[in-house]
Amino acid sequence: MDIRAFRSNQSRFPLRKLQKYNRKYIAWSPDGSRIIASDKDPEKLCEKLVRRGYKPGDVLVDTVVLPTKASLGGATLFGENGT
Amino acid sequence: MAGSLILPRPLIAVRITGPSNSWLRDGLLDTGSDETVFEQSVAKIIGVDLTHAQSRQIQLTGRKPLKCRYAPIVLRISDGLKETYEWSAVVGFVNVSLWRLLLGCAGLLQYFDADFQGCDTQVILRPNRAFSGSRI
Repeated sequence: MDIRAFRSNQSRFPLRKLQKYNRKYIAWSPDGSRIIASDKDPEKLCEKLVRRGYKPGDVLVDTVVLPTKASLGGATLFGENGT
Repeated sequence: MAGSLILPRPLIAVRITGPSNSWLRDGLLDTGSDETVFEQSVAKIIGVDLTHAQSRQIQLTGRKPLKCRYAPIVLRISDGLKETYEWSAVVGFVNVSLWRLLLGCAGLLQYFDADFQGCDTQVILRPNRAFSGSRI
């Protein structure tokens, strides 16, 4: 998978189509141009991929959460004592 | 960016390998995260048994403290053309829904120098001298 080509194709995927998958896990086609499977449950998505003959280690899975909310940080992790 | 439905985020595809399976996921490079943390479903998919895993309380921003279990796995990143890097790491697993894998310092960013290029909305990762995995 050429990641630059993949991202280029992925970025051209129409937003209105992407909205159909909102709050789901999605699996992209190897070239990033299509969504080949989706599910709200990542384990079920994995099962779907295997049933369709894909190796889960070769198919990029992401999530769709729209609209994207501004974030002040991914998730800062602290130890138990807050340090 | 105001009003945009999609905001640029520093994402990278990471292949996560456990005892029984691999899973390729987009993760968020998060310099504010001390650790690399995945949701527990990832452990189930790749066959990691967390029953006797070491655990401790951690805090995710905006959430109550929660239990994080730790286990060794193998991570791989690649540009798909010239560079592929693979290494072993101990990562955390939490029993909450994380929309994105959190790729923090321990397990990932400690091994790579990251150049966040805001204008081009891209990140360049270069393995540093702490990287002890292999280039494939």
